[in-house]
Amino acid sequence: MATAQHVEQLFSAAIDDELSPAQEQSFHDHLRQCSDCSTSYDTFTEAIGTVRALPKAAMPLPVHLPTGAPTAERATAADRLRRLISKRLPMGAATGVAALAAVAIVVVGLTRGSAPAQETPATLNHAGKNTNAPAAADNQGHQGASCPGAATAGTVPSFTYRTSAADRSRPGQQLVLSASDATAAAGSQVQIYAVLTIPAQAAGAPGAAASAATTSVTPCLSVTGPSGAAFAAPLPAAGPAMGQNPVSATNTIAGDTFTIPPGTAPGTVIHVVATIPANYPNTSQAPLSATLTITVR
Amino acid sequence: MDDEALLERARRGDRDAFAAIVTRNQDDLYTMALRMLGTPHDAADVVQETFLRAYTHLPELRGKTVRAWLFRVAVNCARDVQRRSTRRPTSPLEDSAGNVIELPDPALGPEATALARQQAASVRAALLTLPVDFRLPVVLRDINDLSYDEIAEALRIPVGTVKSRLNRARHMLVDSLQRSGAVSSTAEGGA
Repeated sequence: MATAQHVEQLFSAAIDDELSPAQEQSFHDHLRQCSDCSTSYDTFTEAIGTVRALPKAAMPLPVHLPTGAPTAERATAADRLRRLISKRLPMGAATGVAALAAVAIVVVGLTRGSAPAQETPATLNHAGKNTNAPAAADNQGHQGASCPGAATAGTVPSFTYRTSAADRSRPGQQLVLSASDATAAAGSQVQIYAVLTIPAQAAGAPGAAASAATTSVTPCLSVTGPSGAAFAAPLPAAGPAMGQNPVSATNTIAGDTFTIPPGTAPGTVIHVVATIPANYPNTSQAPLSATLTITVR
Repeated sequence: MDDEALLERARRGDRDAFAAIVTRNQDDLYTMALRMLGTPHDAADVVQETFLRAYTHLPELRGKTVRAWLFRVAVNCARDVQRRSTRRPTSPLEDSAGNVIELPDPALGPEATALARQQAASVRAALLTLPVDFRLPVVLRDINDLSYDEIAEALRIPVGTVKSRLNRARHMLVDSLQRSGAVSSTAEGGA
């Protein structure tokens, strides 16, 4: 005959149907004869039922992946990207590796609610207002540069539609993302401004001006929309591509524009995401992201 | 196509295959991280970091199930985030973009909805009172529905330890829920 204490130790296995046939027989025999244990088991199952009834949550942000091939079997592209970064962003080895790992953007499907909708990247045109600086030689043959990229101070657009993000692991840093409007018509252009400000002493980038109060960094940017609209552009096979690369390091402002594809249905929600990967610019720093939603009117 | 088949394609450099793995698993990982950490921002960071690590360590996945391995990476990321994060918990009803992520059941009336919400909040709070080593088995088993073997692989502990921690954690959870009134101290309808 099982004791009450022994039976209580079987509650967890019982609720998972993990009891052996002999244990199950003994367990239920005891519950039929012991009202205390039976009541306790009812309470136990009720409590665990409330945990199991908690709703599943939906990942609220698109996941960003590196641009390189997902295996070491295609190291050539990764090596090319590493060389690109090492030339354009004078960083320490650890920071360089971290930036390589998160250097660009592939936005994969984002499902929400009861009607999941695949989302794919839209074209992000980095023809910012102040892109008068000459493109570096590395940029030739590519449609953009690596990100995050260093940016010097420039005129900041006075967009009122904005959001910002900070993190304890990034003291003094602030990621700001703003857009020219919260709504936009199909076929129109939307201007984006995104910048991460870093206290100069914490920037960790060799060559940073000692007198500057802050260093500005252009984050990785992506734009996503439902695949049912004209956003369903195919993903590039490999390497840097439109929509994945923000402003080159020589640009003076993080001004970017993208076009809402003509024919996009009113009410379509477009997500603009600015991301700074973990360990950038210094190690032990958490990833940082900010998201704005723009509704097609 | 199952995760293992997608993984083989991803190993051959197929980005779309990896993206499919992400799409298939991101909500489960996010739910785990959210229930473990309690903050949507941190949970989203965990998911992002998990897939980044997975993407750059695909060769290490050989011989393992994708799901258990992703959870293992996510658990490690969540532990890292928990160690370095001192953020105050945000509203559990909002994600990092301010969107509601747990909608009330429209079939319930206002009163029942309020009660359900209150009970869910009590359960979430009770979970967060458990020590991490005991919280994780409960989250992985009762919320993510992982098998004992998968939990053992995700937490890198023997199956026997999974069972004992799960048993102890569930009893701690029941005590906590009883104290908060989320469940009755003496269940109705006992034998």
